Amino acid sequence: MKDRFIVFGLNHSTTPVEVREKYALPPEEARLVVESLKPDAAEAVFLSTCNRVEFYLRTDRAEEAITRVRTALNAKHKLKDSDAAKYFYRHDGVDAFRHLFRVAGSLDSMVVGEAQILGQVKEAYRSAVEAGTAGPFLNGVFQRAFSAAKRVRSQTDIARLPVSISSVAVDLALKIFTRLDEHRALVLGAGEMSENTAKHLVAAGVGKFWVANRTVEKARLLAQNLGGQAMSLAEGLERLHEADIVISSVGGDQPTLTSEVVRSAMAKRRGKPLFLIDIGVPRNIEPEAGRVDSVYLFNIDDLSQVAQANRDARSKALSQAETVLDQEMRELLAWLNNLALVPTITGLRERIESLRSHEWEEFLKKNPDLAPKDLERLERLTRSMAAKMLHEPTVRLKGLEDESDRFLYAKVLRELFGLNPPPGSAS
Amino acid sequence: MAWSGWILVLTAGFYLGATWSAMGYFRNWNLAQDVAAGRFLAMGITAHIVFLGIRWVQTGFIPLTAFSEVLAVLGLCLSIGLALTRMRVRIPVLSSLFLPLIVLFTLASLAAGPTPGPEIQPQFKTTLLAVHILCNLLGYSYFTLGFFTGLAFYIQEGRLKEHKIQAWTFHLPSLETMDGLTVRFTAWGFVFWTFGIALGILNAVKTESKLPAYDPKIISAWCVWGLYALYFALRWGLRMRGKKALALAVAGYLLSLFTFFGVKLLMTTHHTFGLGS
Repeated sequence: MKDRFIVFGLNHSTTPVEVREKYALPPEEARLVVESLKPDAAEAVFLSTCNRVEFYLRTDRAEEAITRVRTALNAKHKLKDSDAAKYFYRHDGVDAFRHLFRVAGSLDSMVVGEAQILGQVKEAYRSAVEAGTAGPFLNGVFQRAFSAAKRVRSQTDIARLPVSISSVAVDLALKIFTRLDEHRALVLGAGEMSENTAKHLVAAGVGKFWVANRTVEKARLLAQNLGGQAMSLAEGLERLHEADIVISSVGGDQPTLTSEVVRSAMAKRRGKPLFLIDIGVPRNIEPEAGRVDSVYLFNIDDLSQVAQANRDARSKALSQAETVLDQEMRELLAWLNNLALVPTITGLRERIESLRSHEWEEFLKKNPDLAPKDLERLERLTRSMAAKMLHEPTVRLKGLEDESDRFLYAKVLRELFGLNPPPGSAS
Repeated sequence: MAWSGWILVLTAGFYLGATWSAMGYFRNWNLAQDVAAGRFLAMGITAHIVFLGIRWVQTGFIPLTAFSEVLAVLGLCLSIGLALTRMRVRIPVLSSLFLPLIVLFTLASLAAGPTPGPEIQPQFKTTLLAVHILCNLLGYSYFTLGFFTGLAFYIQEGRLKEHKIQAWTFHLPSLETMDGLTVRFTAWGFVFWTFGIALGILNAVKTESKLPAYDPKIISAWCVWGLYALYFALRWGLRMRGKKALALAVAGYLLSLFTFFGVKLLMTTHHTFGLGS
């Protein structure tokens, strides 16, 4: 029977989170499940993220492999196979390759273009290699998927534009300042939203952090998390002119930063730009502060609008990304076509080599008196003749563009030279 | 067309290729296209230098006397300025801004044709004169680079201020980078301009033993110098940044354009070589 490449699993679009989370397996258990597939699948990779659980298999016993996995997973979570069936999907052959490319390229993600998925696919593949369940075929397929994903990320807008409020804030900061590590951020208020945004800025490399809060103890806790310095809210406002980025989320009806306070801080900053991020509701910073020269003020709605616009732009970039995947798919299919010829070409080479070495042995027996130097020359001649005879047919066979021609020629070669039928090649 | 003219056509071709690739980058944000733009630019610069070298050999004097030559040198100065910037900072979008300008100068040089410039009296054919003209042309080039970077800063600043953020906004460099580049370009322009003026004075004293003080080109050049000097005094002395500083730089650049084109077209000047300088 012929080997096939299939994808089997569930994801965020087919399965609600409360079901999905039941199927997510810790690495050790995942390894056991993949290893249990060895009788049914020649090669297997298991991918488990918070949004998908998928098996990538090269198998000639697809139904058995799928049943084995589903039974194991459903038994573990006490789910009826008939109830769970609706969540699972399966892709075969070209559709399966395309699915893998779309997953690695983040086109199939819940947030299209998100960065983590490529790392997660790489990790899944690495685990499979370590477990010995991924061989040369999946190596070729996954390496091509990684390269396609990189092209999608570098040649389209799909991953470039930030889509979460915190990442929009970081990207806007990078549109004002070249290097964040040379700048200081001041966090006003120690709430959750401030913390999230501040953490993104820390990850982006902001050099110094001050956390100012009405309750200094709370400020101290957040400052410890961020590796910054805590102070009272009053002190924070006093030192406003020393900060380059201000994240404000302080409770209260009155604005914490009035335009006058900002204007006076800017006078001390001598024109150096100031980025104000107001994520408080009601707003903490007077809108008029945004009109002061070299002050860039964004409130939560402004950031949300940018995030939404970027999401729209990412959706528009989808067709660009699909075009890139089309090109990569063509290359993958060409590789697969060549791969299907490998057993025939290898068989042919082995046959010719066995004939040559047999004839050489016979020749040696009949001519024991020849000088070693002459023997060496003659053997080199036989090897060279065999290689040259094989070169032309190999090149021509690989060069055939029509798949049915390749299949026919390969079959004729196998018939004519009495080669073994090829072992299952994946399609 | 003389065969040296075909080299200028080839130069324009390379610059067009670079512009096409740079614009491609602006459309698709594909870094490979920026790399291609860089390669085309390098080929363009090489062909450009070969063309000017041939002209130098043909005319026996640095090719700065005919209008077409001045435009060609100006284009080369701009392209070298851009290439040097590309080597120091990776801001692909800058190429999309400058390359069309370089193409424009090269095509204008081609269109102006190989008409010879005015006959220069032998006593004026001095190295000092050549360096004076070259310094001023380098000054123009760097002021131009500074002006366009400043313009990009102005656009990006407005977008951020008014929250009109679009996908391409994220591809422009930071305000800090553009501000820094504007200052750096303008500072280099100012240095060359100052040298240009100084060498012009020296040359006049050596060849004519007097200064043509009332020449409108000289007065205009001094005004340009004064405006840029004020810009740097405010910028470095009073730390003035942003739009106000930019307004001064823009005024300086517009006056430098007047010095280059306007004086020759509208007034009578001793500076008859090429169109400007």
